[in-house]
Amino acid sequence: MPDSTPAIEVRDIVKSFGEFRAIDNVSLTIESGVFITLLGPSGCGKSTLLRTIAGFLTPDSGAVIVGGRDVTALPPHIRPVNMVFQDYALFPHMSVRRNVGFGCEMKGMTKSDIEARVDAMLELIRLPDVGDREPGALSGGQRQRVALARALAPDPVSLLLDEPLGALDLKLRLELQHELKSIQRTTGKTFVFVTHDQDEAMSMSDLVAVMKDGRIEQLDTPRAIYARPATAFVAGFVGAANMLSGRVVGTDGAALRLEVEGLHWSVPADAVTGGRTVATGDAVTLVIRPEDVIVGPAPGRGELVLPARARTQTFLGGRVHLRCETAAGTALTLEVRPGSVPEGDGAIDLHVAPDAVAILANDKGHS
Amino acid sequence: MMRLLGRIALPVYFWLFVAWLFVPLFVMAAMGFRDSNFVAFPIQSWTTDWYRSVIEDREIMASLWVSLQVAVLSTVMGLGIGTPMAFMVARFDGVWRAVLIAIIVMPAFIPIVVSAIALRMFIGNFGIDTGILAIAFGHAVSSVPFVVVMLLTRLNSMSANLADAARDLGADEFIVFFRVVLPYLAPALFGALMFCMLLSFEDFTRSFFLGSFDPTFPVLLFARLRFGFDPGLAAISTLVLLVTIVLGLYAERFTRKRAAPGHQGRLAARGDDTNA
Amino acid sequence: MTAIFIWARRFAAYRALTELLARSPLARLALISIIPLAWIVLANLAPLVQMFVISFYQTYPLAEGAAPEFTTRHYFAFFERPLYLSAFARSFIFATLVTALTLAVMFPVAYYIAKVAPRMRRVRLLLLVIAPFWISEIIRSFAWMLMLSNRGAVNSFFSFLGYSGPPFELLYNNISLTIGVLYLTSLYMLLPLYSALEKIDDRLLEAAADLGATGFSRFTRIILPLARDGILTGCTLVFLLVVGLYAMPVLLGGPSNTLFASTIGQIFGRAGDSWPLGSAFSMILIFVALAYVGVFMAVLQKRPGRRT
Repeated sequence: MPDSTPAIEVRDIVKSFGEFRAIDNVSLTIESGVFITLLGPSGCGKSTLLRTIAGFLTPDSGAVIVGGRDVTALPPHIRPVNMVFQDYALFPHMSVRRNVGFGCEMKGMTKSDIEARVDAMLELIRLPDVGDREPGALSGGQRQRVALARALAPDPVSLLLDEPLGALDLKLRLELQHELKSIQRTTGKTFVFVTHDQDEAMSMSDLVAVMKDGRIEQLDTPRAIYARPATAFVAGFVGAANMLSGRVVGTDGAALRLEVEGLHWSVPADAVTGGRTVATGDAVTLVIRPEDVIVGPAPGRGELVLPARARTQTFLGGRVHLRCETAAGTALTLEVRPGSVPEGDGAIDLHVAPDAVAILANDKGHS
Repeated sequence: MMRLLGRIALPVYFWLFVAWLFVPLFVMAAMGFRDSNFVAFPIQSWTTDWYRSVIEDREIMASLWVSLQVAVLSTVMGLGIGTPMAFMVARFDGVWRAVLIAIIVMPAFIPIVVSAIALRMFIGNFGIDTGILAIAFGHAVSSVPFVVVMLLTRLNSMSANLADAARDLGADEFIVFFRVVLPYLAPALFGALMFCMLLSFEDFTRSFFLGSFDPTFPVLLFARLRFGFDPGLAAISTLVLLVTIVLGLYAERFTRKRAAPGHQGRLAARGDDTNA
Repeated sequence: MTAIFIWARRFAAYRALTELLARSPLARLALISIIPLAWIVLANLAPLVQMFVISFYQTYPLAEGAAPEFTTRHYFAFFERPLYLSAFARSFIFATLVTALTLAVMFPVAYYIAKVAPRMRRVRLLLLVIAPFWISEIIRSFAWMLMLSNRGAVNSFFSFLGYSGPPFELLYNNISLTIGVLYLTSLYMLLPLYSALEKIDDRLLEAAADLGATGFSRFTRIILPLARDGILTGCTLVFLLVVGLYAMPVLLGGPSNTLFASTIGQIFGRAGDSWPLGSAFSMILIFVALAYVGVFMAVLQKRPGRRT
């Protein structure tokens, strides 16, 4: 299959359950070999979208195209995508080998081909010896890997993973995140991953689609999603975010001049997120991550300064969360080293590098 | 005071109850050893002749054979109807499901004699005569509710993703049924099978009204009891009851061990359906 | 075996069928519902409906080519003969008494297994008690005949103990019938009771004891109310079982103990217009029995002083 054909494409998908719009006109193109995560809170439509791609749900309108072929009207057993379920759904009465080989059986492969394929898969998930055991005799992590092998064995166009690590404890989850990522790299398969855990999404994915209320708020690399969130929702969902209100007072070529709580700041024009542009007079929201705010009397060259008053400090081991307030009353949170800021309500100077600021155009509104 | 009751009186009472359950059976077993043509106590001399010559009683052997045929037929019917019925009910929820279950379970709440007679009249419409087929039909009517409940209990514990996973991997609906769903149901199916067989074997009333010239074993026994009997009858009855008890216990233990937690074999079928 | 289905895929018809089934839950439902629905109509509903209709016929089976004539006289016949009414009343009274007796007898048994016996042994105890219930009604009747007859085990036991008077008349009367029927009904009461009692959280009882409740009030105010559903189910099952009992009363009861089920059975043995008559009586039995049970349940649901 030529690399230029996207693995999966969804076009203008709408899916409602009665009054509730689960998917609100979503379009998405997933290139071959990509690890993409659908990230969002419960009810945002990510699992619904995944199931629509798999074929368990039929969209009210729109199309699903897999490997260049329109499969919208096709039932799941014909679609060349395979799913890994959160509860693994391994067939309890079959051995691991027969589970893994099931999809191959359905394709009509010969027995020897199936055996070879199963062997290869068990090697891939690094469990070559469990072949004859039943799923009930395996641990949670092992079951998850077998479920993965089962889904990969029939060589699908793409793998769909529906919160597969949700039932595992933290340590196992981190371990399996590494495994999944490495298997994806090794096999070069397209993985579409669904989770509500932002750390998981950020650490594993090539691309992240943040979803809310049935729509994709932003589709971008993890780095860009974090540093240049397109909406206030995205900003808040993937990490802690300090938000300040401001107004554009002028543009200077590659820079924007802003008025923020009485101060005048100049930031790079590419700080504006979501591919939007702003004009003089527009109201904007500034997003600054806590780790980018520095406390200290001597700002570096070009850094933006913001006077504030310290309020409370929360000790968290190797760092301290410092809450402070600007003169205008906006609450800010920042991270400092323990002991670097004296207790109490003293005035402090905050500064931040201009390129650590993200600008959200306000026409989209706050969440 | 209550503690005293609990500690001593209650267990004593329980075991007295158990004795009351089993003593008559031992009495009957003992009677089968009586060396005499008359049934009476005390037993002065013992013999194993009655037990050994059981096979020679043609009428009884014939009735056992009839009972077996009816049991097999009614089991096939019961499972054949009960299985799709369980799937049908499983698709519904809430009020509709309750209504459906109520209609399905209805035969268990109609007095047996009425049900038997209604069926007797009904089959006449189709030109079906009383006989083995009619009896099997009657037995199936009463066993289907239990089959459905037993299978439903097992089905309820099946994750929805299991069938979906099979579909996703390329299985069409028939393959999903035969390779995933049916094997999952197997323990409950086996339990239901045993249940149908045993229920059919022990039934009297339906066999009586729906049978004709070839009686089932209980019907023959009934006739013999009314018109005179000898220790041989006690012997064969003991043998039959031993077989049914052993098979019944095996079936119960099997369904308990292999089925999903919470499933209780005959318990679920006979007492729990309106409780759950 | 799967190979068959995979082989069938070469046929477009098969592919179309499986696609339809996979896409449409409605199609799947329709496919599996055909047989069950037909069965429900033919086996559960139609026979009773037909019986109801026949109860209004003058005669049945109908003569060749004759049209049915309708009448209600079979229902009135019920009231005309004291024999029928007394058998009916006797059945209901007997059934009520036996139900109450079964409840009284089985409640401690169920309680013992559910609450008192060590947890590990519960299953085994249950199996022990259930075991005899796989035995046919007739065999069980036979066993009690052997126990209770004039030269049966019980009388023999008494003479063994030295009693030399006339044998106790234990058979063919209410005693034997009651014991025999109780022998049948115990299971139907035990299982619902056990199930309900088992579900009662022991900690409730502990908490009550902690708060000073005596054994008796723990019983009346915690155990009984929570076991209520089990009691209702058990009583319903037992009652309906007893009113429909045909064989055992014939074997263990006497001629003065004819129960209504036997009456109905005998009617069908006669020639002439027996079927409509028997149908009418059956209908009366069903309706009154269900109404009786319904009232019983309604009354118990609304017991005054019960705080939900």
